[in-house]
Amino acid sequence: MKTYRSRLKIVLDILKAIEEGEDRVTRILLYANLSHERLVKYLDELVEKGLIETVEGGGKIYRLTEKGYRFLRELERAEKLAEAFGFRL
Amino acid sequence: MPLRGRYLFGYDILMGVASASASFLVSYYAFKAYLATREKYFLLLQLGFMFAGAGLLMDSLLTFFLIFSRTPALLGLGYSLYFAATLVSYILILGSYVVGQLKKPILYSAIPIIGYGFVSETILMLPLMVVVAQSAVNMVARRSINTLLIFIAFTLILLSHLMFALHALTGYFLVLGHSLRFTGFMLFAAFIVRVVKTD
Repeated sequence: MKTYRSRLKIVLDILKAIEEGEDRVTRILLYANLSHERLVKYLDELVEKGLIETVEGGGKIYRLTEKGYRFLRELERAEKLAEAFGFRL
Repeated sequence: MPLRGRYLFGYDILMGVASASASFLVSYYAFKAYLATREKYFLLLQLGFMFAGAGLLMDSLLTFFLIFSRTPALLGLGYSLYFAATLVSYILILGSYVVGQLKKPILYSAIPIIGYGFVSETILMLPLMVVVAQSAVNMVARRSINTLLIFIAFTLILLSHLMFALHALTGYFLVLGHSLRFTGFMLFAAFIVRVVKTD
């Protein structure tokens, strides 16, 4: 069965990928399992919201901001809570 | 209520306050999860555990007040508030499962007065039985320690209501009921500690 992945879950996967060092678009693509076009839209939105930022260094490199780290922790807790009670993000 | 006084006066108050605290803790983290995700099932879960905690706390505080005021009528009032709040709580928790399951296409869904009485406790058991069934399905499907803790916690609380319903048979059921409910809420607290600690 193909599992439905919510927008929130996609954001969580992208933030996790960046936290784990997957800092370039091509590497985040593999981790987050998204098309290039959709990933870029998500990344732009996350930059706009101040959750991630870009650093120039031989191409675009993404990293989490302080706000992004905090949001990622909250989402991870929410995911654990949801799973324990039988919900899915 | 002589049995209550004979076996547990004092201990039931402490266990009630501790259980209420655990319930408020789950409520707090469910609210934080709601703020982060805006998922409605978290809000229902938060309200459910808030009502459960409020019911336990009101019952405990009024029982405590009774010791000093020597007003037996308050014991009935305390239980009435506990009954109403707990019933609302279980319906809200059940509602969170309904919203959570309706929102996502998950195959494994199981959704389709006054003074520790048989009737009132049986009413409380009905929505909780569905919650226990759902948590059992989640546990089997996900097989994690957290889902196991949630399942055991809800099961113990369900059993506590069964003990309260049958306490007319022997006062020990009342003691056992309080202990089971206390243990159930402590498992919720342990679950929250696990969630926070593993960050």
